[in-house]
Amino acid sequence: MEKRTDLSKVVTVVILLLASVGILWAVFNFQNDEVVKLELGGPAPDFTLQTLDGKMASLSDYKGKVVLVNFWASWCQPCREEMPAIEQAYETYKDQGLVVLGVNLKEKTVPVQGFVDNYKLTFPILMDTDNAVAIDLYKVKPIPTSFFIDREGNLVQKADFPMTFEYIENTVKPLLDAGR
Amino acid sequence: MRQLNNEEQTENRKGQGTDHENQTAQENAAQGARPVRPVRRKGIIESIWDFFASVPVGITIIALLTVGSTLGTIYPQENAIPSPNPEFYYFDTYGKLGEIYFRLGLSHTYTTWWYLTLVLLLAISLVIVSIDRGVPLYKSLKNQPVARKVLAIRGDRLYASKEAAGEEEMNRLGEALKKRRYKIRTEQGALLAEKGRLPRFGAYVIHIGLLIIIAGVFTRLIPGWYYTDMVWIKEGERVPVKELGFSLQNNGFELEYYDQQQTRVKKYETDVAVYEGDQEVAIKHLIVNDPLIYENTYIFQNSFDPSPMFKDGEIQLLDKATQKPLGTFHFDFEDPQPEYKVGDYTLKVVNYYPDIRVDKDMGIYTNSREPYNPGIQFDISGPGFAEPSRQWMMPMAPFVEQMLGAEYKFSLKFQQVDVFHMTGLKLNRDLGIPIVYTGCGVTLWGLVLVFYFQHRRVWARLEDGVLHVGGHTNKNWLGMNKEFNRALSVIDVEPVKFKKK
Repeated sequence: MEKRTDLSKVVTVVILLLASVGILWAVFNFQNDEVVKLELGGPAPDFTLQTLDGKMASLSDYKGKVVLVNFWASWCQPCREEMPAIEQAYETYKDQGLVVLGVNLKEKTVPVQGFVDNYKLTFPILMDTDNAVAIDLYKVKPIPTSFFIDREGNLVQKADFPMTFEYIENTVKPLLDAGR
Repeated sequence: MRQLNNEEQTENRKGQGTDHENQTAQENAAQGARPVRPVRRKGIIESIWDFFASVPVGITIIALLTVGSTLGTIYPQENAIPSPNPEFYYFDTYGKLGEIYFRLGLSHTYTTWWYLTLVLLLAISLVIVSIDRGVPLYKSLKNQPVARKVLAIRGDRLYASKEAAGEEEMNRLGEALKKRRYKIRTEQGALLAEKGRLPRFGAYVIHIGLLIIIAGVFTRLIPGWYYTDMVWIKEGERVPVKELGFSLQNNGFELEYYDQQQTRVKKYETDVAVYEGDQEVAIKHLIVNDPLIYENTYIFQNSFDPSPMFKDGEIQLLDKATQKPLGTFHFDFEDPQPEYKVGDYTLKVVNYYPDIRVDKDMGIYTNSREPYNPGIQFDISGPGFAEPSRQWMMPMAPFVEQMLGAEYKFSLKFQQVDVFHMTGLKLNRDLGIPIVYTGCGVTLWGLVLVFYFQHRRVWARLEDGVLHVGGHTNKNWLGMNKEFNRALSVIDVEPVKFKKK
């Protein structure tokens, strides 16, 4: 009789503790789910988007090159701030194999074209019309956010702040050298 | 203290440790020189059990929860602040203290690990306490003897006796009590009348209610059970709600003010449609506080964007010098075309800023994606113009030409323009709510049991021609006293008064 009571106590305590730990684990995972980070070092998720001039472009088209993917919008002040630096870096290093993909978030063609003309941007602009690439695929929270992808197609670095020319240069140089 | 019946002794048992120690000692003796290990393992479980079964521990958990909950009310929680950036909002609004508040995680108190742990500890404590106390109480009440010792009955706080009495008197007393809805059990020369046994378990009913509430809240973890979000939709736009698998479309938004100055809002209403794929599955004219309910999701008219946006308009092109109309074109402020043709004239959109700002340091830029304050720069070319005329048009700044000190060759006039407001809909799905309400009901029922009903018992015992009658209740002794006397008046016993402690 007494032994039985003890067994039921053991079962009760074990079940309660397991359930609690399980619930806490679920809560923890639940909250974590929203900030799943892209794994640096892993392969960059591929995407295909329409460019500003109406062609289709994929990340995989640029395999073997160092790719800087920059998520931006014309209403974002820090994005405007870093644009000249990105353009300068592109012009300096494109011959060594640097590609810049400017992924625009959800804006329309005419205002983006005006922006590109004003800033004299020469790198391809991709139109992410529903933010699917930015938010679902690359988990971009603030903009500007930039990703550096090496010649093997791996994500190497993420910058979620306006970059300077020096920063881009310092990041890109070793990547460009690595592939040769 | 209060009279100890045998079940109350079990109930009031403090420091169960002694029991278990005895038991462990016995088992040790029985098992002889068995190694200590199994005993020690049980010791851990036992001490966990005793920890949660302890009233001070339970009270401590409740006190900590109270303090924690209070901390969460100092500043608004993250889901209630009018900003998507809590990392700046708390500092900007409340200063250094706000910053500390945010850093400590108190801006989302009710989802912190320590708060949830406390809630779960409370749940464990409720289960264990209920088993630890409720089960023995149930058993002892079930097995209580009908015949108590006369000595014990004499010691009851309510006690009366009748000389020269027999079975007949006892049965009459039993009948009288039966009329008062007592349950009667009799043995040879002994009677037990009892009513309201369930209220004794009122506390455990409350425990069960609280456990149901906690369970109801944690159902939010089940995928698809809980979702809340705010959706902003322009007129005619369809916005997918990925998590719930449907889309919402705004088929029209109405906004009315009481006054001409548009300071006091009279009403704002949305014609909303729910789409599954391309299939329209539900529609409703949403007014405030009258949600559309679709698959357990409540869709509320919550708010609207007070700044109007430009939708589209007819623009007339005129020769500025002669004011001769040259034709009109349709302009879509959401998504303008790169070029417009008006008769022989071509208007190329060089720049389009949906929400234009002109700043001394930052130059010309757009402040948002939405056409709140559009600024269009046209290159207009046509017969008789060697070079295109570049000129601005801003519906919100009609005198841009004068402001810039420019001399334009053409006039652009709005013939008609449509503005609209964005509607703000709140989505809410919480399948756990009925469970929480059930829990509240059970808890309330438990409280009523505890406060308004009592467990009353009357024992009678015949010994040597004397009928000894004792009464007991767990509260409301005055009421019990009245009932006791009224029942005893049937066998002509003088009224008695219950003994004070």
